[in-house]
Amino acid sequence: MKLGRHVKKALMVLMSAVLATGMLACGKSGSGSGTSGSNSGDEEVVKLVYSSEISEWNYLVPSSGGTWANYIDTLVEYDNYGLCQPCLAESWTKSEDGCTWTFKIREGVEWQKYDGSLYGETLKAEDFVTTIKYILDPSNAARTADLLFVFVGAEDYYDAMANGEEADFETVGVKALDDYTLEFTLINPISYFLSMLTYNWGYPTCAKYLEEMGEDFGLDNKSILYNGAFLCKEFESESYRIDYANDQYWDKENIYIDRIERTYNAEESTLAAELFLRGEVTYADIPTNQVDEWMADPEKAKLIRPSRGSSYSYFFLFNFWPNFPEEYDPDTWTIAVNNINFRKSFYYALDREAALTVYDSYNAENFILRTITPDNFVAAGGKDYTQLGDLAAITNTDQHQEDKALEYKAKAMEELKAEGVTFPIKVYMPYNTGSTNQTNLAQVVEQQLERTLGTDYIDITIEGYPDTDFLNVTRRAGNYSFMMSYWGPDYADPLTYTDPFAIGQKYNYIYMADGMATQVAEGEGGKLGFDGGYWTNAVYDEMVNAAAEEVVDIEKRYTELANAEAWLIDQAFVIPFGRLGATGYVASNLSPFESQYAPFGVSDSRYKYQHYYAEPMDSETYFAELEKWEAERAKRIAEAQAEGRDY
Amino acid sequence: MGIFSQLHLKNRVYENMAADLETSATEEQVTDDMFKLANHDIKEAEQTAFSGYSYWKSTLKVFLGSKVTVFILIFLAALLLFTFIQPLLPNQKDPIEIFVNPETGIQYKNVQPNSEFWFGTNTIGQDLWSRIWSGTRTSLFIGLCSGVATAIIGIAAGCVWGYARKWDRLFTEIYNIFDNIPYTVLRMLITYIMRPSLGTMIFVMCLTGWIGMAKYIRNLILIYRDREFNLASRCLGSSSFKIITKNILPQLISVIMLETALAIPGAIGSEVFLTYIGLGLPVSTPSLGNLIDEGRAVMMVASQRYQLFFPVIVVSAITISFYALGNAFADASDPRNHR
Amino acid sequence: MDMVKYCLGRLGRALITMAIVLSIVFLLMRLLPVEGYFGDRSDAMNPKVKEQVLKSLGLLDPWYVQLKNFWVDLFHGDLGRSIVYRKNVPVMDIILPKAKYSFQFGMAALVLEKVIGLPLGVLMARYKGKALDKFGNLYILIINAVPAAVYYLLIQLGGSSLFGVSMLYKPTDPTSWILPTISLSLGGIASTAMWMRRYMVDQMNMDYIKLARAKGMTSSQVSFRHVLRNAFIPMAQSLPASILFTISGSLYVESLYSIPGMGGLLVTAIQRQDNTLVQAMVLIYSAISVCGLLLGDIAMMICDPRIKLTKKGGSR
Repeated sequence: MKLGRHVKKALMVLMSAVLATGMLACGKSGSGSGTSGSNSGDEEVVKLVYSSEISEWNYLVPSSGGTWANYIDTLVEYDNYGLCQPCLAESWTKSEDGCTWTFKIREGVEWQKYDGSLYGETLKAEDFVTTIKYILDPSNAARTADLLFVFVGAEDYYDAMANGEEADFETVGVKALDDYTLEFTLINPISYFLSMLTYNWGYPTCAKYLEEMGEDFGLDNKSILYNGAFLCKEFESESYRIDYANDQYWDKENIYIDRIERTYNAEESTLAAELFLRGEVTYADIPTNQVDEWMADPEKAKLIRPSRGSSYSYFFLFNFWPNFPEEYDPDTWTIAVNNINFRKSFYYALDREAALTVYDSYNAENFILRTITPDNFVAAGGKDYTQLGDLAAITNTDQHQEDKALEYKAKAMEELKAEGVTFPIKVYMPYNTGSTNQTNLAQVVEQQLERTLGTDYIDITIEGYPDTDFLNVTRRAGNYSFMMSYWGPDYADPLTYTDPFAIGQKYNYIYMADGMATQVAEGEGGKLGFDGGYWTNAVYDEMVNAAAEEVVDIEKRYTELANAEAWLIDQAFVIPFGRLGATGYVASNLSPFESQYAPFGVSDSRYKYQHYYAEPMDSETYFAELEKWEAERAKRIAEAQAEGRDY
Repeated sequence: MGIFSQLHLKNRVYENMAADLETSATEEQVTDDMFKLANHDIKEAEQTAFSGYSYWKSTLKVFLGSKVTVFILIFLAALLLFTFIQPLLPNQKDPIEIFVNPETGIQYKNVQPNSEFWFGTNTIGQDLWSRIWSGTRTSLFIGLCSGVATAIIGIAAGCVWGYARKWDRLFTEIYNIFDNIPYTVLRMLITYIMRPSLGTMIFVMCLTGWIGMAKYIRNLILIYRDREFNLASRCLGSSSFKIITKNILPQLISVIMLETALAIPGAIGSEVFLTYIGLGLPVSTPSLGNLIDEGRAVMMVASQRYQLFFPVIVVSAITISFYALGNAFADASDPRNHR
Repeated sequence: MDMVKYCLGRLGRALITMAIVLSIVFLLMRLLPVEGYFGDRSDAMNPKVKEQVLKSLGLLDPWYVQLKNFWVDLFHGDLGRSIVYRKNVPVMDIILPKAKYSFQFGMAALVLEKVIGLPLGVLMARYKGKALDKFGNLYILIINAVPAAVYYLLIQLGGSSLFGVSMLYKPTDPTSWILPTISLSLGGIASTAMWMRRYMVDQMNMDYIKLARAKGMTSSQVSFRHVLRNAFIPMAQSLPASILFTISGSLYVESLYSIPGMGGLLVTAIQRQDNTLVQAMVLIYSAISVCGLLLGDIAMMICDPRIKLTKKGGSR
């Protein structure tokens, strides 16, 4: 019987196919130009295609929470200039020592089901505690549990639970004092604590619902509760996801978009641009290899604008723990990489602009980073972080200086020859084949460096590794001599960008460079490095720790961190490269300057506050708006700092 | 799916024929004492058995008799030759080198075909003409290696499987197991475990290819194994090896050649698929698979379609040639077509 | 009765094969690096948390314990829940809706393939060497020579702008179903026509055809009455498998047109290291192939009374 139905359906498909073909063959195709005018009436509808489907609807478990940004609100959110503002928390206070934060929760926010109907519970302070309790339960295997170890007692609680011992959640510094008062107690004061609240552990959870659903909690759009600006009313995995504006949202005046229609397409990167031209979507990333055509056509060029670079900072690493095959001569590499002139010759030889044309041929300078921390990340004393302390000089100089590169090359060759090194020095550079742009970039950089520095000096070998497991077999195993890697910020403090270079991280192991740290025996106070040795007196780590001790005077803190970063770059342990992770151009009917701005957390995925415009923004408008936006942001941050506000 | 189902069909038809034959032949037992050894005099045999017919000569004659075949043969030979001598010709570019504007250091990207870059350049300024020939070299190498290896392993396994009754059951079970693991699973897992490279790709293709070939040969062997002339030969004391190589395999030459010829474009097709799912060769080793994949990405852009069409034309030409050649040789090697 | 016994015997042996196949795939999946289970926080994640993630997936047990647990669950009819692809969703809830889409498109394409491919093959054989035959051969050649990944894209791009239909599949818009169905059937039409033509040409030399012609039947009567009818026998054998395998979908077509079918599922499941999903799919595909062959043999037996399956043990 079942088969019969399928066959019938199949026949229907066939018949409609034949019929339609016949009709078209008769030349009565009618509409012709297709579905133009994607927005009818006054509705503001965003349409887009996406190629990576949500694999987990349970927002308490995964490592990032952007998916739910529109569905569930967090305690705080960001405005479009990147300043923190109240959301589910109406206000907050901080204790004298900066360790205890108390939040006043907004009253009357209803929990809703996916279709907008009320669940019958309102938001309480307890709901945030429920989330944290869930994440700190090891049996739930939540991937962000370690982010919560900043709270008093959290790590002990987690360990005890993992070992099957008795554990009392009362000991953890997260408490609902009453229905609308929430208190967090930190081990150490954290000046940037507010920015940490926009992760998935900042989403509240209705305890009653969680219990009711049990194992079926968070399987799809229908098994979570909503209180955000949008409701995901329609969803089918790898097919479509449609969000509707929530007309019972507590702040519905600030929602302007009525609907977000997403269609899944595995070939999004190939098709999206064409779909945009045909009016089937209102947003498209323009792949780098298609940009030329768009720019060449004045009509199409008007439809696209540069994308706002991501906050992922990409840099090139010199490896001080060479673990690669003998054929690339790790011993010689160890000698060479410990020579600062050798490193500096690379530093000055790398042509960022030429390499970044792989991402964007027209505004490559948009993506260039001369520092590890990107600009517009934080600011103090009316200055952007990248203009503080010693970092200012680095930010304001073009680092691509071939004459200097050759000067350093000559010095390095002289010194290294004295040490008995034979030239050319083999440089082993792995890259990720999963990304077309990175594959192209590896080829461009290899050839550019060899051309500039000469093949009598270096011999770069690039080798592709597939995306699956890429970092484990390369960077994390020390299996490279020179490669590109990246870091994304976790919170609003430049300290976040120092993490990759500390002892214990699997980046470039600079503590193993000559004179950068002392190796000690186990149990003598050293910190465990990834190589298995114990290290102490790490020059860079101490610099950072000293800087981070300052938690009150933000300007001083930032300046000292900037000095540490400048030192790291000046020593050429790391070569800053660019802010990548997005395509160079987008076509979109939304304005990027209206969306919530935060380089970390979930806020920038929100559609709240955004308007749909009839025409997509062009490049000219983009740059004009960007300038205005940067000025306004600087002004607002200066104001907030002058008032002593946390933002 | 289409081609697969057809081959599958062919296999099944033979298999049933073979199954019928098997039942009819195993019923009676032939024992040694039923026969006497005959004296084998070469001269005498020569006298009575002589005929002017030479199998290979006739095959060649029929094969070369068709103008189209000769044309394709010359074309393929020229193509093969050219892929090898192309790098030696004057004014050829390195397929890996990125060409940059010496003044600005910016790459010559997406340059339309011109006198400098005959097939234009790709999205990072590499010369498409030399990349295509280098890619053809790589892909033909993969195709030939895996085609030949598949044929050799497949034929050897198929012969043992088909001829040795004792092993039939075991081989059939092994075949069933391999056949039931979806090829995608096997290919992807092996590639992940071994890392994508030229060697891995050939290995993976052989791993999944020989099984089908072995099954096919086995079914054909079953058809011929118990024919009268083989029974006679066995009675006359020929070894199994001799029966297989002298009596049976020549009968199968035509189908074997056809299968091997089709395996080469098949391997190129597999390479395109593997590249599509992200398990292809690294771009620093140009191949037709990754050239087509790169070309697909710019398919939407009218002015850059040349980046897709050139490699597609080469792939199509190679496929058609091997296909036609395989068919022509299969026809020619069938004695029934010899006059 | 013999027939039932034969079928049961064959299925029994197939079950053993499937058990071995599943165990092999199970162990191969366990050879993949564990890093795939941590997502994009792998660098920042605390080792303690990583351990808990692995523990919750049952990956810290020795492999034989994992294998045993898998078999015990399977024996209870539990294929498990997805661990990465769509976390915690029962695998059958993932597979069934997707299989439905692939089946619908696959069936439509299969019908189209037979409806166009068979007559084309017959006509090509009848006008062997004539214009129609040449045209048909050209079509077959092109379809086989040009990589499918390329011509599918061309059809999507050209077809949608020519006919003014949507580039993507829309469940509510039947016009958007046309292009994917046509794309899916092109390869099948070519191979069906090729096979049919070959079959016809071979059969035309057979004695019974010569007799029929000598009796005075016209060539078209012979084609359709005798040859075509005989051609159904091998076709009947392959048809069940072809029908069942339509649920496996097409990676290229479904990716291009946004059809939420099975095409890319296996590839994605392996890439994401979703062990339970991969195992379930391998199980389903091998079950399908076993059933397809068995049903095919039965169908052939029904079509052709001369064929008996039970006479001997069967060579498979």
